[in-house]
Amino acid sequence: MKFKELDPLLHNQLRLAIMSILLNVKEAEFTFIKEKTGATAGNLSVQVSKLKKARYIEVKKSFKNNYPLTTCNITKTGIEAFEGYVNALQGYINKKV
Amino acid sequence: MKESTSWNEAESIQLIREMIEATKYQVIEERFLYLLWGYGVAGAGTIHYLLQFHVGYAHPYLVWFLMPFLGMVNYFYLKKKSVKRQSNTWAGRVLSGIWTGMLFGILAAVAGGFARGWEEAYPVMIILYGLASYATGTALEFRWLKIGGFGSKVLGGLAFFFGFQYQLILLILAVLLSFVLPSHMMGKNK
Repeated sequence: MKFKELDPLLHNQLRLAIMSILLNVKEAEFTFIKEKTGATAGNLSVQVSKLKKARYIEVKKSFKNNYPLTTCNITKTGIEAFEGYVNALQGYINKKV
Repeated sequence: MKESTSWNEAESIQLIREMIEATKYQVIEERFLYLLWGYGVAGAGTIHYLLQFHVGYAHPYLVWFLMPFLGMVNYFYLKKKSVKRQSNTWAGRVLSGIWTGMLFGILAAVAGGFARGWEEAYPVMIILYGLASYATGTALEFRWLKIGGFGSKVLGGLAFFFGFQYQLILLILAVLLSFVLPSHMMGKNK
């Protein structure tokens, strides 16, 4: 049996955490994701940029109460990639069992 | 979050589960609104009943004009909450649809009350309360809202067979069952 290759972009703890959060919400503020993942702002920013570059998520910058506000949301491409990743994971786990 | 270079597939699944759990919509978030409307409607219904059937006041329905004030409290509460909110969950959107839909349903039933008489409108209102609670309980998997909502729908069905005096009592029972009881159980399950 040949395994599907795990998407290297998603096979990273922080990026997978970001995608899991965004899959469950319509959109989330950067600070919300930071709070839920416990990541540093710098590291989170780097991983968000990578996901954005792959078009897995969209990043919007605006203002809220005169403060800069960054919000993220998952794209259709991101949802498909996440589903593919979970299916591939399932294949590995089933094989081990 | 500490990143590890050697993590396995089971840990990936665990991480996905943890993140979904961390962003899960919590039924307790709406407790204030259930208490507000539950006690508000039950209180107004009780005052209406006492004024009409014990005091003999000519305009007992005037007590319902307090409801727009509760609506304002509801509005400002949600507005304040939306300013603080950092994420927009799917469950939150579903619930918003259910309760906004119920509000318009109640307004339509009130219009029906003016046109056809309150005996025809009250059962519909009781059923709508039950429907919204039952749908919310199902969406959030909160047993007490499902039980209360179902009970309220049964009371709504029964209300078609009774006169206005008993419909008022059934309305009070319905909001106690579908709003007040679940909100207190939310506190216990916190």
